Amino acid sequence: MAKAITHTPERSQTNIANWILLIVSVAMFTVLAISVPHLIGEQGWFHGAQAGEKFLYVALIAYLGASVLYGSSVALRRVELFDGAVLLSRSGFLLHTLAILIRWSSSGHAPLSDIYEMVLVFSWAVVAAHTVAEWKLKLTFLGAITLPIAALALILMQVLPGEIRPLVPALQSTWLQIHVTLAMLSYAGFTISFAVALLYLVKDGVTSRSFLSWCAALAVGVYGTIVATCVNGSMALTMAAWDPVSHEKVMLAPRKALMVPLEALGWPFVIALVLAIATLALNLMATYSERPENWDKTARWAFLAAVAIQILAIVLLLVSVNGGSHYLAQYSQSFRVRLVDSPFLLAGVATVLFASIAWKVLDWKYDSIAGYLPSRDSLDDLIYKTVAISFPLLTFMIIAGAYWANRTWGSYWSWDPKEDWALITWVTYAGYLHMRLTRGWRGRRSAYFAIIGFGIVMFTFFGVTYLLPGLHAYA
Amino acid sequence: MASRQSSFDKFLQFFSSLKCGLLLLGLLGMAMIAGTLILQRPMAQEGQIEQVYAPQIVRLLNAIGLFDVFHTWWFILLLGLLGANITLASIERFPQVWRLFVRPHFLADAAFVRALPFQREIPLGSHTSEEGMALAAQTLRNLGYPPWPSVLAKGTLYVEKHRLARLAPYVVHASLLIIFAGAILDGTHGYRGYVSLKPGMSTDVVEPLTMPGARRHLDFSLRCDAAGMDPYPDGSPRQYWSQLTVLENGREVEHKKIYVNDPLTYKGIRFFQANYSSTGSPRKLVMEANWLENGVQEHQVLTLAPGVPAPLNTQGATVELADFIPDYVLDGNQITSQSDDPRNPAIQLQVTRPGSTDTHAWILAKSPELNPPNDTGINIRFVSVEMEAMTGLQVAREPGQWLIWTGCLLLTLGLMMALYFSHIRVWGVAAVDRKGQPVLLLGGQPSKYRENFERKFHELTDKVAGALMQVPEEPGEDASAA
Repeated sequence: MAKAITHTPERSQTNIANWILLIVSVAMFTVLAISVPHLIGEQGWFHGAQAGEKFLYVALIAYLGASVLYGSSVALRRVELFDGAVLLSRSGFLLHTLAILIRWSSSGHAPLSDIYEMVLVFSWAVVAAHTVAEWKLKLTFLGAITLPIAALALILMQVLPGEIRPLVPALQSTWLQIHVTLAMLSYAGFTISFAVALLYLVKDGVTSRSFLSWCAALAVGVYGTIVATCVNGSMALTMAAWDPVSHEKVMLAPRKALMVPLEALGWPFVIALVLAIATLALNLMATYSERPENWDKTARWAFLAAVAIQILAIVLLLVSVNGGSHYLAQYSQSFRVRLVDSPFLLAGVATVLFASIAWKVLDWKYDSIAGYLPSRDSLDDLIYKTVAISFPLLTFMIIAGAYWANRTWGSYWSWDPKEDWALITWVTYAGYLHMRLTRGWRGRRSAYFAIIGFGIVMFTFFGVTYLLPGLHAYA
Repeated sequence: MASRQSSFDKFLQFFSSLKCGLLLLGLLGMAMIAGTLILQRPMAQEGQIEQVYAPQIVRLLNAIGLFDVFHTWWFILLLGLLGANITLASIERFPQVWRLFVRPHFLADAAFVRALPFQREIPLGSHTSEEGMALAAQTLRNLGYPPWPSVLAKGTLYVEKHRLARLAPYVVHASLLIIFAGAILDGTHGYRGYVSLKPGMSTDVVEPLTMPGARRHLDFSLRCDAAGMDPYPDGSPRQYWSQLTVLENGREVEHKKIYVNDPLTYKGIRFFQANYSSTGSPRKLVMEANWLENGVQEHQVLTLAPGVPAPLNTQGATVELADFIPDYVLDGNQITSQSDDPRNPAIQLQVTRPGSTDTHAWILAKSPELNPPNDTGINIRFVSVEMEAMTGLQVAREPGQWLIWTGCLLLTLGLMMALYFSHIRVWGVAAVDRKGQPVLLLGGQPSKYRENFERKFHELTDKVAGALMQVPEEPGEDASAA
């Protein structure tokens, strides 16, 4: 009898693992089955460059499945899920590699020449770095963060303009390949250090309330930017008009596109922003209150409501964008809009959603996750090691870029925004390495630094491209 | 006097400290962020800054140089201070590291080894300490970690790897200083400018790239023989090129066809393909003429160039290009050109016949059905046009660039040494454990990456322990030793 009692929880745990495996497989097969007609399309599966995008789509499904399995294997401490996750992430990686090779062969140049191709290679490099780290260092937990990042990148790619364009003269150089490959490798390395830094904070006992505050702060940042830039006075979300004939945005003046207001769509974004701010405020109250539980509970509900509104917002947006053209009385003409022209909006919303899911999982299984992770010291060591590997790559990337610029623009340094931000990233991590090597900075400070550094890397990668265009106009 | 000395010392101490270095890095970082968020004059279009910012803000930001952060005195001062900080810090710390580098601490005793972060006691068992030491040395040698023979003779087992990694930080910092020096040399002795040339023209004048700047005269001249754009099948540009000739005292001394990414270098001055545009006037125009002469249909292909009349096979007449509008548009009753590209050319020809007044014809290349009536009596059709191109060359003299590339190479090597290698050392001495049993005491220390070293240390000492555990060949001696 006693034996039976001790066995029961384990069996139920095994059952949970099996259920998760089953659900993930069914979900993946369903999505694949639904997508088959679209994937085969009118021209068949193998049709030039589009075959690459189809492989990528299947890779995305595999990455999403792997993310769920990695996440639940960490949250539930089930090793059998880890094996499935590894299988999915490796097959996704294979398809991803194939997609890159197909694009390479059909365009005739290495896929490193615009933002679409860079995200393609960056997400590949993240999975590659993850695979190497997982295999060489026997890490079983890394995928819970890195695979969602790769999946997020591939989701973003579904809306980035992916058509193959011939190389402009300045890009016809071997240095393009050296420069961009080094950039993507170092960015991927910093991504791994960011993933480990997050896990370090979990292991170090940073409360789930603090993580909630960070998620809410991220949401405030993203929705604040969206509301400030895209929502007009009458609560309509404005998006750039798209001319399907000329394949260009409709421009009113140089650098001024015609914006189409999508009626009332601003509301969900504003409400999400307000709820995220409320979450932050409630968490602040909880920190200073004598009875934090109530505030805490309200904060959670506010945040969950914010997440629900976000999902609603994105669904409404998708319906509105795909629903046909929008009539503008002042031009007596209808215009179409595309999500592609607002990559920031979609990337921001997707990032916030992923962060929210990660928080929810953490909140739900905090102790289990912390117990699954290795010691603080070895996580701390791993943060440092990944930064120490990536920093020289970043340096070589800057040097290769300077050398190439010297041959193309006639100057090795032009104080172009991209160059400046690469240098800011360099200075940040140089500071980190000095603190670590000579001041012995370890632990939380080191982890926070890795997180801030990653933020700067992502701004250099995407923010500069979309917000501060300069000489690096192509990406 | 003494206190002044000490306050100067204090200043120097702060100035050479890491704290100061990081402070300078932080300030530079903030200045750079400002420089990317605020429009910069060298990058902005004429008048754009005044349009974007309010006049008071323009005045304020102008005064503190925030419209040209990277060329203000304070930004250059910050860079200079950082250079000085790196120099002082290196001077202060280098001698000690250098002493350790040339004369490493290789002799050890038990107390020294016991103070090391990683240690292991391996029982000597039946071996004498000399035998144990020799066996351990042999094992380590076989694993690729040879102990120093001279130190071994003095009773210490000493193994090390990658001692150069200790010097690496200084290599990195020195390389940064070399890069700074190169940049300073370029700032004081280099220049950047611009030359635009039409094919056939030559010049020895370099225009300044930014408006307040001086023209420069080269001591040679540069001629453009041809320039062009090679398109992709879809018409977008694949490559721009210019065929250049360097002339010195009228003699041709060098020819090169330059491309984007592949400049011409002569006497340290480099010429880059930076721009290519149509001048709006044709170089060669091919037209087809048909007319009736005494009831016979005549046909002739005319090749025209501006200012060069072409003879017509009849009556001693000539045809001359009177006007060429590359991209015409009718604006009221005025004909103007929308661009300098020959997208929709309108051509006016003048036909001169001896003994009669000149006659004119307008030919609209893309829409001949709209040609205005022509009084020349000749039916003229457009065939093709080659436009006169203007090539824009960026000119740069950067005497410091070789310092820059040397610095970059050193930086590459230094960073790899500094971050990919760790100086690891292992000492071994004969000692006794707490129970008084003879042991081989091994201890080790890495300069970084403790976890990697820990693994390596365990691996090495396991092998040594394995070697020492093997049964000695003569068991009899074992008994006598005991």
